[in-house]
Amino acid sequence: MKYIKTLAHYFEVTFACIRMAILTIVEYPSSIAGWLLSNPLQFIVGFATIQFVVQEFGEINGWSYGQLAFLYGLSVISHALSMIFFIQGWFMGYYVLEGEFDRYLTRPLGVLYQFFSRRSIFSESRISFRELWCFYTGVTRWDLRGVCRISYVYWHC
Amino acid sequence: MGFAWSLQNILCILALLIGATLIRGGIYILIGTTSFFTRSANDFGQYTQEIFDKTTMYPLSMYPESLQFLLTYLIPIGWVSFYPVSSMLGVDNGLTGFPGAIGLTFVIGIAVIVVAGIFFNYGLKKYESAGN
Repeated sequence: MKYIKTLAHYFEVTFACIRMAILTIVEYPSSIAGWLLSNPLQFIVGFATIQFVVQEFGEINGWSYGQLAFLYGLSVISHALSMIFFIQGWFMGYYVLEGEFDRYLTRPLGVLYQFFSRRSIFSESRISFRELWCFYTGVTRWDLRGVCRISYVYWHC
Repeated sequence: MGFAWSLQNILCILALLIGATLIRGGIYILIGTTSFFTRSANDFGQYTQEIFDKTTMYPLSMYPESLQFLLTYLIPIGWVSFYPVSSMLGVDNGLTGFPGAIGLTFVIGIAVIVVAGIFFNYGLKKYESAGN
């Protein structure tokens, strides 16, 4: 019963942190716009590279284009999910040097939990939706027009 | 391509994504925890991300066998996407022939995050405040 209460408390704090993260993101719409302009290009170019290589050489080590799209899509989806929940791990060094863990150690919650719930990039969830579409079209059918279709869908959703 | 949208495959993909996310997160935690010992603010996040990009988005079997061994048994990056996807699509994955690669990804993800948590707690004992 004690563990259930503790778990429920952590869930309550998590939802509050999610709400704060979303409200924080919404405060800076131009930042989101700039990020949404630049970030998709990275993955679309990466995916287009795969298509160009496959068009040139036939397949990559026995992997066909659809299989590579499947692999690429699933990989980027897990990347997006890890960015949502674990991106704080990139900056742990700065928090150690600045002594930020002092306040975490004085609070009645797990230190690791507090550290990662401090910042969650829920705007990455838009990447997840895009990568889900990318992954799905990789599974079904794919061509260069699909790249344009994905971009069109992305910009309009 | 050998993939069908059945309930079993959808559940497999969900398990794969959870395991892959935990593996990535665990590796981020492990690398970040080294800052407790080095007391350095070097940002290894971008380098780690580059390594993940190059090794998870392309077939691992195109790399040398030594690198495949490293990314399969020592640093489980190969389990993020290559082994479960090749198992799901029925593609020969070269180095290993694990039939239950998707379930193994989930288990490895749990193991990595647990090890990362233990290492983090050990590193936290070495933490010294900045004196603010």
